[in-house]
Amino acid sequence: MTEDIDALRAGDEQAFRELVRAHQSVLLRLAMVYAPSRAVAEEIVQETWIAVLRGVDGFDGRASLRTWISRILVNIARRRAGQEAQTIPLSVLGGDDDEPTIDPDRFQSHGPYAGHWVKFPDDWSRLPEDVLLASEIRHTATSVIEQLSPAQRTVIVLRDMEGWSSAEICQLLDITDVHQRVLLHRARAKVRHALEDYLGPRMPPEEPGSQAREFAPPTP
Amino acid sequence: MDDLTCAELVEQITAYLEGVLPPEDVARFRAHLTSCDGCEAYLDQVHSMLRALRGTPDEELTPDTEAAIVGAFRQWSLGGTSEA
Repeated sequence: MTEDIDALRAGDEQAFRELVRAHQSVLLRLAMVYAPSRAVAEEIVQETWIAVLRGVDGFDGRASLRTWISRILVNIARRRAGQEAQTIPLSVLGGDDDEPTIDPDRFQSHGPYAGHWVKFPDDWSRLPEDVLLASEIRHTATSVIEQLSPAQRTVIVLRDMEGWSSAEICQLLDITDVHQRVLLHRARAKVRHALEDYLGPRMPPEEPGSQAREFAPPTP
Repeated sequence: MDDLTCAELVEQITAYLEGVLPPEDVARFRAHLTSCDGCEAYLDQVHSMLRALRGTPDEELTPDTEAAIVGAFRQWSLGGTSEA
């Protein structure tokens, strides 16, 4: 990391190219949280690198390099989103919502099995393997992620697509560990739900005589 | 000891996967899981979802954008101030 910065300061173009490539995916995904189009996201990444070069002497190594660069990008992207507010659905990071993470109707409301499943979630291990690996699954997931609040979207993109640690995410967004986990939990629940809706009709029929997958209604 | 309901388990799942659930809650979580096919299926769904997200191909800049960024670097390393 320090070597990256040293090479950059020394004007090593090859090292700089590698740095740009190493960070292109996360920076584009972060930019897309705010940008109305892919083209604008590319502009934001370009603007970010120019700002990084201008500010490289100010990098003090307290944050990781990618956190520092990402923070610059988020600031630029938010500023642009403010300027282009008419094209942006949400301009602030905010964005907790009050929706339950899973529909309460999925659980029995009373009786000896209160709080237990009304009907078990599908056992996806019964799906043909290629269904779960198909690109449609990823498309379904990414299109739900695009609809999340900026905060939820940022957290799930960094944690689950880019593999960041929760500590880095908290540092980037300046939020607590607990808040970060709430955002992640809600985001994951929505993505899982969308996959369940997509995969439900593709489940192979239960074999006759297999164990019933529903609780019997409580006997009066 | 297994007094966790399915509705409670699904709300603890992220804390469990993130490794921040207190040990006594982990024990209750696992005890419930061994006796509940529904929650086992739910956890398996979450794992499948995470595999799908991690398997999403990286995003790449267009060659034009990359060239523009490298161009800005050249100007910057020459001490130019027009772009960088």
